[in-house]
Amino acid sequence: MQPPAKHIHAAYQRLLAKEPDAPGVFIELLLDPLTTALAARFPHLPDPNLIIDVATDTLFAFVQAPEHYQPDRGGLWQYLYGDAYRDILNILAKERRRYAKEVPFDLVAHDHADGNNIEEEVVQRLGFASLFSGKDAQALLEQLRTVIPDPHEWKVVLLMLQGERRTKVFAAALGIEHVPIADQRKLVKQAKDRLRLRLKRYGVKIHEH
Amino acid sequence: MSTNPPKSLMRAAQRAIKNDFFLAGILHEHQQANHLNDEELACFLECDRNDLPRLALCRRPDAQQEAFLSDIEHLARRFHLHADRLAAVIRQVDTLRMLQRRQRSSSHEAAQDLLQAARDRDDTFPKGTEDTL
Repeated sequence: MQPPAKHIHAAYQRLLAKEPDAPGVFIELLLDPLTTALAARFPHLPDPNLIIDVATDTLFAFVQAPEHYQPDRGGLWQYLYGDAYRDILNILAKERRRYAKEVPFDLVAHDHADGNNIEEEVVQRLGFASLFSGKDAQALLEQLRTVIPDPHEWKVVLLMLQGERRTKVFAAALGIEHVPIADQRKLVKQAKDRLRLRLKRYGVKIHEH
Repeated sequence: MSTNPPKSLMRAAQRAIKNDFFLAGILHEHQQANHLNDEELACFLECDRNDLPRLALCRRPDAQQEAFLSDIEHLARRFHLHADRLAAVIRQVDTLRMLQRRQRSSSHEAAQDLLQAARDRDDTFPKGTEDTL
């Protein structure tokens, strides 16, 4: 939980006054709340210490140059949280790039399975995303199924993960084949965008060309 | 008696060892040079062992600065520790670091001298003549 603003402000003022114990006071006041807030935002990171270390580094940087913070631009808590949040995103993006170099993950470039076991194929492809969620691919797929309970939407998710591109196939999955083709395209796009966002929260990113 | 520091704070204090802004590196080097564990260091400084991670995360007072003594007194009041001993710890580590730098520098100079001597020798004997000696 975020400490009271007046406590943060008092610790900040002590930093500005260059009191030698102010860095420790500031770090102790904010480290755990910041870690908790970030952990709530990134609940599935495989290494729990990553968040602690990022929060620590954010606070280390701050206590060494508190004058860089401009209070008129926003609250100190938001400033620190935003800084740490961006650092985590950067680390994850870097890891993903590194991993993508090692194991190419391109849905379109891959051959499709023969269709006998769609979920098995999807599980294999989720192996990449599962690295960042700290779960195995099967568990991640089951979790996704619970957060996308609508059977039509779930079918769309599986099609997307398979690399399907044809509007008519998605329209059939959504049960909107009867609507005009222009509306089908629009509705399919809306559904895919919405689901893509939901998948992204679980570390699943779908590349389409 | 101070409260137990959270694990995250202890981890942060460890991380601060590599950062010269904090006291952590000084305390760590003093412990290594004098073979002290945390308990012994706390005993030497006459402070609560629970406060060591908090002390480690304080700004390192700079012995070359005017504010050195007032910083030491500030920390002594805050952590109820022995001010003179904290000052001695900082000065000892500063001295150790200076000696290490000098040693590295003189080793480097000695290596440079050897290199120069080798070059001078090469200049004395033009290429192709060394093997005939």
